[in-house]
Amino acid sequence: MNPLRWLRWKLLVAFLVIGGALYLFGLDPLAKWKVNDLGSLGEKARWTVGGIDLGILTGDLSLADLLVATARAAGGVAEAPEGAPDEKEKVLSADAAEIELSMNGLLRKRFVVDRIRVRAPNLRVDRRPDGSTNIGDLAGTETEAEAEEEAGEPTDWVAAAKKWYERIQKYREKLSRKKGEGREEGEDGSPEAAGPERRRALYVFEDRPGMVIHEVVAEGLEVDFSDASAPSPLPSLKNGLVSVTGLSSSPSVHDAPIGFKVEGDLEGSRLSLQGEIDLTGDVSKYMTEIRTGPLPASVIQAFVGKSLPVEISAGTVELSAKLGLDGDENLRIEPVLLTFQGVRLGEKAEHSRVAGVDAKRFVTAFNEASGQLGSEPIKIADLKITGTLSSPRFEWGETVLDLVRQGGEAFARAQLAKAEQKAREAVGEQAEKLRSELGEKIDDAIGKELGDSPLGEQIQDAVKEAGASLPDATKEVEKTTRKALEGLGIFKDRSAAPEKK
Amino acid sequence: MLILTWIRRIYKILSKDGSPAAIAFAAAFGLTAGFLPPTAGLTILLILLVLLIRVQISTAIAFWAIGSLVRLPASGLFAWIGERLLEAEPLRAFWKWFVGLPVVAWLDLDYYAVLGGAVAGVLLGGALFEPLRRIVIAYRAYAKDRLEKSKFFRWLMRLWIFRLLRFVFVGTSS
Repeated sequence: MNPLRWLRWKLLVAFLVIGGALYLFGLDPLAKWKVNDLGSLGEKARWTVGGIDLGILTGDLSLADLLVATARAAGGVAEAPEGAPDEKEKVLSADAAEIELSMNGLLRKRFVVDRIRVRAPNLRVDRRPDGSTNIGDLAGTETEAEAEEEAGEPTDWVAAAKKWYERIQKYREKLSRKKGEGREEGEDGSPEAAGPERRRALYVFEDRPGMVIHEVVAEGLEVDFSDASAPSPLPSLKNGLVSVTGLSSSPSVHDAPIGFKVEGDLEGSRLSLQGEIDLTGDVSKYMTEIRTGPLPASVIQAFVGKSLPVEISAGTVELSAKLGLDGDENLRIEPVLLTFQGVRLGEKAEHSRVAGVDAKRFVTAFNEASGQLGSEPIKIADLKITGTLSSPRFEWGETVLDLVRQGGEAFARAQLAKAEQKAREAVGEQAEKLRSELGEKIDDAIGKELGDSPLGEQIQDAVKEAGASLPDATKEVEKTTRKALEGLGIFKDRSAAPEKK
Repeated sequence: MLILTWIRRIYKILSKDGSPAAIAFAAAFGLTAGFLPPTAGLTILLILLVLLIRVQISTAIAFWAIGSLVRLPASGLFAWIGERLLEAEPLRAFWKWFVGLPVVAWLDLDYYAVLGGAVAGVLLGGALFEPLRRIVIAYRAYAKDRLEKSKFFRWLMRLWIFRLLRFVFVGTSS
C-alpha cells in the first residue's frame, strides 16, 4: 500500500483550513473575549484588555489597554460582584504590553518568555491603616491568622516591606516541603490522596523551570502612592523604569539569580534601586543597592517616618546604601552614606537612645551641628546596620560620634556665648549705674572745680559719649569710663597746676 | 432527511478503511488510548492519529471503550508499571532526556499512570495486532460464506427492525 494513502489527507486539509481561518480571523477576538471573561470572574484580581494580537507562529503576543484591579470592594472582602474591574480598585494600567515567547521552549512544555515590555504603566499602591495594601489583595491573604495580624497597629511602608519578605519566605518553605515529599499532593496534602493517576516522577522536570521570564521591562512608569494613615498626600514616582531579569517558576533551580532595577523621580529627586535576589541555593540571598537624590523631610516622614528613631522636620536627606539579607534574616547594610542638608530633628517619646546616645542629647547635638554648618551638608559614611530584619542593630562609626561631640561642643559654646552675653548685659547695667553715679560725682566735681572752663566741657562730652554707647557695648562703656576716669586723673593733675594751661 | 444523510455519512466514515490491518491498528490505538487517563497529552495525540491515519474509527472507538473499562480497576497496576520504569535508577537519565524532548514533553509521560498505561497498551496492542488481523481475515471468509447460506440471517434481515436499521445507516442503494 502506498504510504501516502495512510493518511486521511482531506481531513488534514480541513483541519489546516479551519485552524488557519481561526488564526487569521477569529483567534484574536476569541482570546480577547476569553481573557476578559476570566478577568471578570477572578476572586482576587480582575483584569481587562482592550485588544489582543496573537502571533502564535512567531511567539509574539501584544496586549493593548491593560487594566488590572483588585476584586476587593472598597473596605470589603474578596467578594466583589462579577464584572469588569472598576477604575477605583485599579492597581495597574498600561497602554500596551508586548510578550515575546520562545517557540522552542513551548514545544518542550516550557513557557519561556524572552521579554515582556510594558509601555506607560501606571501603578497605584494604596496602603490602609491596618498596614495591608491593594497589591497584597491581588496575592490574597493566605490564612486567617495572617489576616488578623495585618489588622494590628498602624505601621509604615517598612513594615509592609517586612511583611512581603515574610510572605516570600513562607512560600519558599512551602515549595521546599513539597519538593522534599517528591510527589503530587492530594487535597489532604498526602501523595496517596492524589490518586494513582495524579502521581508523577518529579525528578524529570525538577531542574527545568516550567515558566521562565528572561526580562521584564516597564518604561515610563508612574507609581501613585496613597496612605490612609498619612496626614498629607504622598508624592508619585514619575519617569520610572523597571527592569526585572531571571524570573522563573522554580527559582531554586534556575541558572541565574533574579535581577531588578527600579528608577524614578520622587518629588524631584532621582531614586534608584537595583540588586539581585538569589534563590538558587538553600539559603535565599538578597543584595540591593539603594541610591537617592536629596529627599525632602516630608517624603521621608511619609514613607518611613514611623520606623525612624527620630522625627525629621526639615531639610533633605540623601541615601546611598548596600543591603544584604539572607534567608535566616541576617541583615547587613553597609556602607551607608547619609547626607543631611539643613536637617532638623525632633525627639520621639518611644526612643530614649539614638546611636548609643541619649535621644535628647543626640537631637540637640545634631541640630546644633546642622545649624553651625549652615549650607554645608552633614555626611555620615560609617554607619552599619546588622542583626536581623525584625531586630536591626545599628553600629554607629566615628563620624556620628564626632558629630555628636562637635555638635555638643558647638551647643556648649553657644550656651556659653549666651551666658556671656547675659553676664555682659548684667555688667553693662551695673556699669551704667556706676557711670550714672560716677557721672554725677564728676559733674559735681567739674562744676565745683572747673566751672565753665573748656576742659570741663571736654570731660562732660566724653562722659555723654560714653553714656550713649553704654547699652550697646559694655566694653566701650568700660573703655570710655576708663578714659573719663583717666581724663579725671588728667583733670586732677591739671587742676593742681591751672597756670600751665 | 438531512439527519439521515448525516447518520449515513458518519456510519460510512466509521466503517470505512475496513482492511484487516486497519482494524488491527485501530484496535491497538483504541486500546492504548483507553488505558490512558482521558486528559493526558498522549490520549489527545492518539485521538488525532486515529482521525488522521487510515484506521477503522469504529473499531478504535470500541477498543477505546474496552480499554477504559479495563483501566478503571487496573489504573493502580498501570501506575505501578510506570513507577517501576520511571524510578529505575539506570533509566533516569534516559527519561530526563526523552520526556523533555520537543512535543514529547506535552505527552505527560512523567505521570506513572500515563507511561504505565501506554506501555501496557502498546504491548497488548502489539501482541493482539497479528492475531486480530488473522481473525478478521478468517472471520470475513467464514462469515461471508455462512451468511450467504444462512436461512436465519436471511430471516433476520427481513425483520422490520433490521430493515429500519439498514435504511437508517446504509440507505436503499446497497
